[in-house]
Amino acid sequence: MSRPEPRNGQDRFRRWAAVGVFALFPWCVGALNRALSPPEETTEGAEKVNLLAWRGPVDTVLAGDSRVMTIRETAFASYGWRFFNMGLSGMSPEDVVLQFAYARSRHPVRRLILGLSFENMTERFPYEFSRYRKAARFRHPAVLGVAGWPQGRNALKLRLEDLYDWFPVGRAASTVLYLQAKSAGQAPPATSWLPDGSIRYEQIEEQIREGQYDFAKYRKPEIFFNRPDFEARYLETGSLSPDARKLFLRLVDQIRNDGTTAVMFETATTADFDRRIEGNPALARLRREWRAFFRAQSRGCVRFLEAGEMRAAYADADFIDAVHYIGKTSERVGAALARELHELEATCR
Amino acid sequence: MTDIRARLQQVFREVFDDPELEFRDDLDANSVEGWDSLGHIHLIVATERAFGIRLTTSEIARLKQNGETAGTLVRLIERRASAGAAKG
Amino acid sequence: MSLLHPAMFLLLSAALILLSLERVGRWRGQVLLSLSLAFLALEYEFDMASLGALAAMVGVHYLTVRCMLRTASPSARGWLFWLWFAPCLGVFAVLKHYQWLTGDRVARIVSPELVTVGLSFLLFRQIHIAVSAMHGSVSALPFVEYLTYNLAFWTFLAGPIQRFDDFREQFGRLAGSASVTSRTVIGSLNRALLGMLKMFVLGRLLQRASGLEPFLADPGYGSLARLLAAYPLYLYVNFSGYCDVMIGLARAVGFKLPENFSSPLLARNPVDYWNRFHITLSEFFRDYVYYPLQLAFERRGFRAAALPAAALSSFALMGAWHGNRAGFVVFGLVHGMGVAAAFGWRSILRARLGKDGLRRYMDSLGIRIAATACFQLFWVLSFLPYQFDGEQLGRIFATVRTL
Repeated sequence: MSRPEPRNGQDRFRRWAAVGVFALFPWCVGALNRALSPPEETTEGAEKVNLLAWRGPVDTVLAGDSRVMTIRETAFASYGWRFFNMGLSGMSPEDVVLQFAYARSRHPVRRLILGLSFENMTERFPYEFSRYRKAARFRHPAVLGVAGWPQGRNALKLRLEDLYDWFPVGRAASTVLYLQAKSAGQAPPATSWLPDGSIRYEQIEEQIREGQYDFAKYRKPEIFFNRPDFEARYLETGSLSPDARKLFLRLVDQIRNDGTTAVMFETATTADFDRRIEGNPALARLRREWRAFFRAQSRGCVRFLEAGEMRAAYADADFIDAVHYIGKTSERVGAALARELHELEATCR
Repeated sequence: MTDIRARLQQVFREVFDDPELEFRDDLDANSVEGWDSLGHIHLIVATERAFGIRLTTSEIARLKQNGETAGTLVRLIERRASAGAAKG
Repeated sequence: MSLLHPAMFLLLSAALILLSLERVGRWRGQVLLSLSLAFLALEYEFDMASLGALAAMVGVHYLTVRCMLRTASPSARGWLFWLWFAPCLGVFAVLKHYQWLTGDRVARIVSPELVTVGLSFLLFRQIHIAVSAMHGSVSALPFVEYLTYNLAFWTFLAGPIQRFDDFREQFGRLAGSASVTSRTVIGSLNRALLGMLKMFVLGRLLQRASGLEPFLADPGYGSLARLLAAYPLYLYVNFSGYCDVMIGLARAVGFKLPENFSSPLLARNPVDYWNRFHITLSEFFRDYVYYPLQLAFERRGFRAAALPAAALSSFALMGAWHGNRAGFVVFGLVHGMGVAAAFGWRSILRARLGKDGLRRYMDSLGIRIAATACFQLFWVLSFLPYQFDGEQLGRIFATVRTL
């Protein structure tokens, strides 16, 4: 092979200048995006974590999915407790456990209320992966250990994700849209959280006041079984998730060891939705098994309440869809839970 | 013109419907009208019949690649011919 | 891991710098291989199970091909090929969740959640080498070259699908320290940067504009046009941007990759389109499916059926390769029918107008514009089953009827 032509200095300079521009370009774009652009996906988890930090010392925590998000602090404050609602949409069992573990790692939590939804345990892990793994502080090693999230390799992945947050090159498109919105004078979207962590469905409440909310449409159970293969999906293994079982057993053990008082309650639904589950023999059998599992954890300072035991608190008219409620029902549920917790704390020690 | 080239000229003239086509080794898909995917298959079938050979998938694919010409086909046929003669 | 990740940019920049250094010289091939292995580790997020599966795929293939090269008998090589190919295809179908092929039970038993990024394209490279070895077109298979061909970072994710001969030639040039002029470096990196802008800005904007919800929320002819056009344009811009990045980067260090796009928006019919869009993929299916099928029919005298049968089969297969939903197969079939129809129309024109008349027809600007406009409509409509499932299509048609 013949020796290559020697490159002259000017040619060499131009080559390396081009290489330098290429190598630096993405970092400049990333830095620019970071400086200009608001976070593309501020998860509810990140928002809640910030709120909790501002809340100050909290001793009573409510964890669970979106079905518990409207429960407010009022009833709990009447017992002199400092309450925070950590409910988040679409929680998988591991998220719920991590919520509580995180709160305990930051605050002197003595009381836990855990909202549990039956459908979240009928397949392996309903969302296959938690959607909140990126929420910054949920990655504390002590917290990871609780839920059994693998460390080691995943810890490395999480560090790499941090790097992405520092140089979000991929947000160039959202930077363009953000600059466009800013130049048109649009305001950033408002948050719906209240200081105690609960939520107000302001838009829905307004629609209801104006008589525009279509209850019939949104209360259909099918919305929550909205995939054509829902039965296959929910009955994929035909059994309760063994990983979720292990997770909750570990959580209950920890609660007992820490001396925390805990009320776990089955989140309620409309009568139609309930009939939908009862009408399917396999789902009905699984729900009975699920209830029996949590009832078996009820002893000492841990108590499980089935949906039927709190039936008096729920009014069908307050359900905005098959599983979410607002208004007086939220207040009554909060009051019932606070009462249960107070009585349990007084009698169990 | 060698015998192979003369016969290929006949094949090309029939397949591409051009009685005045002059076969050259540097003919390719850009210089022969109708030498597209369909024309290529018809060319292959006619060549196989004319020379009593069977081309492999790799050879057919190679013939359609950029930079390959009618000369590639000639060399392929020559190789087959000498391999057949070596076998006796 | 996404290509947008800073770790990926670090790696691409490191590749560019290292492979440009004169001092690296004849070790460039090894450097390329090392960087490619690092790229894989990042891409697979250090998942040992997935990396192990990838290593097994490559290892089994390499051993099979080595055995083929040592065998003089064509029929023995043929057996070896099928002994490798059939199970490989089965494993691929399981890993990619083709449950309609493998069945639910197999999917449940053998369905670890492995990373499968790049496997579709790896399969093509492996088929190409195996078929070439079967036909005696490959005489030697040096391990470093073989491994780099299969795993080179600039073609691993999504092509372009380079032929092994071409790769060896370029690999030899890379290791031979062939000089690259500054003009070439600047032009190539300019292309790569524009490719990034295409992917990360234009493509993302088009992706945001696509999807069903905006159309259903505000049905109208404008939102319908957006529904039809945004997604195919996003696919084109995103994919061609990716190719620009990889081809530009490779060219900047003296390695020439095949082109994958040639102004597909100017295509006048499906045949023309597939000579302009994802060129290396359509060439692969042409050479390994379409030609063999068509030849099989033609050799047996079924000339009339040859083209439609070959076109429909190869495009259906190409559609199925894109994903495990029926919609992808429908997409393929639609294009197969389009290709057959385009050839058929050409034959009719040829018979009616003669050779000169056909040439005038093809050269006419007015006809070209009209044909291109018609094809654009065909193109965006063909992506409906690609993008949406049956239930979503039903909602779209129901909404369109109300317009």
